[in-house]
Amino acid sequence: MALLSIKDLRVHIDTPNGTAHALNGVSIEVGEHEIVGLIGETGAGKSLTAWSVLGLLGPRARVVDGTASFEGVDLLTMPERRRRRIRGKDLAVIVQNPRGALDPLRSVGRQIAMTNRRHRGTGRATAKQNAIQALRDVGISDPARRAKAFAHQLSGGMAQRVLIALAMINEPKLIIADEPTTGLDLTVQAQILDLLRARVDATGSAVLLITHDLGVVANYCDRVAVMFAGRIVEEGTVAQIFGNPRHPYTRSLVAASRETLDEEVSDEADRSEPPNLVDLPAGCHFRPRCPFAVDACATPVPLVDVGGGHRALCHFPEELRKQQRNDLDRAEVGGGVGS
Amino acid sequence: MSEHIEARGVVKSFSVRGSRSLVKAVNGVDIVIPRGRTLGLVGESGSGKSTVGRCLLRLLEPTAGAIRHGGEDILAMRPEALRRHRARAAMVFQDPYESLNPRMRIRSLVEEPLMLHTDLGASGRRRRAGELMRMVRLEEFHLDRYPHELSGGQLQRIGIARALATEPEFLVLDEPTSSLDLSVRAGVLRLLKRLQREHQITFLFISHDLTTVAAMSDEVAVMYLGTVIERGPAAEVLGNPQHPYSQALLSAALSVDPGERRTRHVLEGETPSPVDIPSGCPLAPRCPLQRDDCRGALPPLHEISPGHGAACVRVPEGTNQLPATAPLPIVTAS
Amino acid sequence: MSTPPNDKAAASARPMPDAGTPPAHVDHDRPGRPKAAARGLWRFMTSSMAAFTGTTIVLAFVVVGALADVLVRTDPLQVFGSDLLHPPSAEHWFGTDGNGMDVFARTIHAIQIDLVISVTAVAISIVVGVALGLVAGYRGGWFEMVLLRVMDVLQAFPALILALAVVAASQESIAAVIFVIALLDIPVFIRMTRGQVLSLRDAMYVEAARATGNKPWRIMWRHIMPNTLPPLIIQTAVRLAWSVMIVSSLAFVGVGIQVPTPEWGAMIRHGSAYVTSGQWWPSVFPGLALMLLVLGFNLLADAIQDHLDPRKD
Repeated sequence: MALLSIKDLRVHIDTPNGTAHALNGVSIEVGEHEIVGLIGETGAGKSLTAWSVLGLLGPRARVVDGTASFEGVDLLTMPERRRRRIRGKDLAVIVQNPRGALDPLRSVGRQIAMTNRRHRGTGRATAKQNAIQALRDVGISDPARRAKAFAHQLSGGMAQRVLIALAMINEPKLIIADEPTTGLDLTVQAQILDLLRARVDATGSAVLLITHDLGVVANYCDRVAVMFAGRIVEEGTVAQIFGNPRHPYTRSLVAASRETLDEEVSDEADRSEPPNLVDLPAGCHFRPRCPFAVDACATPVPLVDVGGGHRALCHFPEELRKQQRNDLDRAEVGGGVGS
Repeated sequence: MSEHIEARGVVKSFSVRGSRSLVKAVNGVDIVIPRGRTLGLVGESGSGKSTVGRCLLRLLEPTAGAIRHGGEDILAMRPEALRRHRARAAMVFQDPYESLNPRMRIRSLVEEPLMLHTDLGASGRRRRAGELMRMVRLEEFHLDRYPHELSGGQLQRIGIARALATEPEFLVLDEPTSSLDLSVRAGVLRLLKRLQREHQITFLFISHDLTTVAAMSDEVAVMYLGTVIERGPAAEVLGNPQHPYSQALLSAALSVDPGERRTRHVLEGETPSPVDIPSGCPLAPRCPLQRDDCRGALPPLHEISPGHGAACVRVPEGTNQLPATAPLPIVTAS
Repeated sequence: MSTPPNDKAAASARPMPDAGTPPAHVDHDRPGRPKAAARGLWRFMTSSMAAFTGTTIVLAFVVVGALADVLVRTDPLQVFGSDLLHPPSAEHWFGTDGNGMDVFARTIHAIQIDLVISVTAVAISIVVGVALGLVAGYRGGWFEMVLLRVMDVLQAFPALILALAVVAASQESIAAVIFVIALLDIPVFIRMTRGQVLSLRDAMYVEAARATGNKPWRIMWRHIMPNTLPPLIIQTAVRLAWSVMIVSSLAFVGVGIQVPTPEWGAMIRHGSAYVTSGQWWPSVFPGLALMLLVLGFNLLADAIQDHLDPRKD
């Protein structure tokens, strides 16, 4: 059984222009020991999925349907008090903007120790020791001294390490990481992600990693879910998604990330308007932007299993494979830098 | 081909509020770009790359140095001459949501440079605005929108249209695609390339994204803590980096092809604040290859091949290759 | 933990213009303006209880004040000789005061003088305060320093005492009241505008405007000023309420506007002498009018603040 199992999650948000259908039946599973990447463009609903699961939705957003079972218990229907006991203990969060997520008035060591004491009932002295050990584990040199630092005294990379230590202190079963390296420098990003991967491998925690960076997903995730307009449009292993994308949206993403601009492709009109969540098109939501759309795409879309746990929300997942093969025959797709 | 943009020894320091110390954001940088070519300026936050771009346009006053645009001395210009010069040298900003005034219609934004720098009447500006929209592959009706009604990719096209309105010869592109969703990045880059080809515009392309720099640039300069530590033809610098910092930076770029694992070099720590720049090689405190002679004076650019130089004392003896850090184990789904 | 990313998702829920199709009518600019303004006002009024009540009160005062001569035929200065301190009746709705003048007519006509003084004073302080604030914030330097120090000195005086001194020392009472209110309001608008400019001066679009070759005054006027409007509108409503209070307060303590000019503060002062002997109407009715108008402005300010809150949509 999966550790976290989100099923058919639907979330609506009230806006001055009507009800926005922000999540339209999201289903994701995260098993033990794995890092699952959740990717998609701004407004696709990646973060909203995480916040719904954590029970931290704002006043204008509401869950209208669906379940999110964590170890078999539905997080969405349990009382807030119980959910609070789970958050920070078995279920931890790492957010973007780590400095904003730390308490500015308490030293980082105390924050970590407090989390440890509250959820694990450890004694004061032990918790302090644990906090220092946790800081050491995330590669912070001289952790006893750093434990006394306050959030504003830390660099972005250091604050993100502290946040990971804070998330890891109670040995959570699942970590939800929302854009954990966005805004950090490349060299620091590598340090942070190496650390996260190593901690996962060492402790057996699972991670739901929300990001818009395909390079991060390709290098650090086991499985990937691709979101568009509040739905998972494709999911599979990293090899399946990057090697053999079956949904046109995934294909456009993967192609864009391999872009070398060498070929003489003429630039086209930009039709990238984000979908209007108040008034989504019937059938496939990607239809207005899809280069292969036909009339049949306006009918309800099936989630097609194309083999090996690789699923795509598309009427014609096989068509894309043929198309891809043609492309490959025509030109060898170039790699990234220095490859 | 003559040098179109030429800057020598550019220094820019800022005073820190409430203290006497100076932040040296740019510490003696030379920039040379021939007409119609692209120089990619690469670096992480705090490297001073955006400051260099702003100095070239004199949006910031350099503390020292010389800047020439087509032979003309930019720093000697009086305010009115500088204002007129802005028709010839423009900038495209990182975040189109932030750099377009939210209370102005797209039409006013696109027509503003025409109003300031040309004697076109209302109908002439209207016609030119329509032309510009077609140039950036948008529709004329987009002119009647407000910025919040367009997507990030479309807005950046507006930013480009605005920059190109007066047919400038030189564009500073400050991370023009880093705030855009992946799916529209390529479109914007293609657009820029086509416009450069059609109008012979000189580009300074500032970015931390090595993939886009590789695709856009003829030459590349890598900056670290206010100094250019390596420069040369794009393929050379990005394919065969010589300075230890360039090696580490390039190895940190993540390829989208799983399974493909390059040699990795992970540097300790982070870029220090530019308040306390070490003397000598700025990377020395973090560099696993540092030795005593790194600490004295800033090393000159040692030439590796024609036009490709790196500011590392080890380059002449060929001992400048970083040892590989153990690569990550390849993860297999269980 | 920061707030949930509700806004991000909500932001993308804006109705986007669809890609290919040009909109049915593009020219919603000039001809439709007044209609659009009326629709905007209606949407604002119906957005909350405070907005509805505040707008209704303020609009009612403006309309009644403007049409006072038509609506109330009784001359506010006419003395009904035999009817001193007559209680409210069918003939004199609010009764008559100690001089035998009709309290209803005086209360209604007082709207004009109180509103005209307040609006004029606040308008002057907006023009002067915003202009000085813009320059101080954008230019900085010695100008800003001197200006701020002068404002410090000005604001260090207790407002009412300063007002008393100035008005008492002058001959022309209405002009003096306007002058002194403007003097007290100007620092408020200067500081507010300067604060806004400081936060906007480093905005990316201001730098972009510079890079385009705009002159400084045009950057201030076209690019910075419009973005300082929301707090300016809120502050205007707050200051209007405050100005009405000051006008009446000055008259109440006996400087500035004098009886028999119909003015609420003066009426309250004059009528208060009779309250102890049971003749409440000469002071209570103008008092209620004053309270209602101030309440209206304050509700309006609150409602505008809520309405302009960017987190709203």
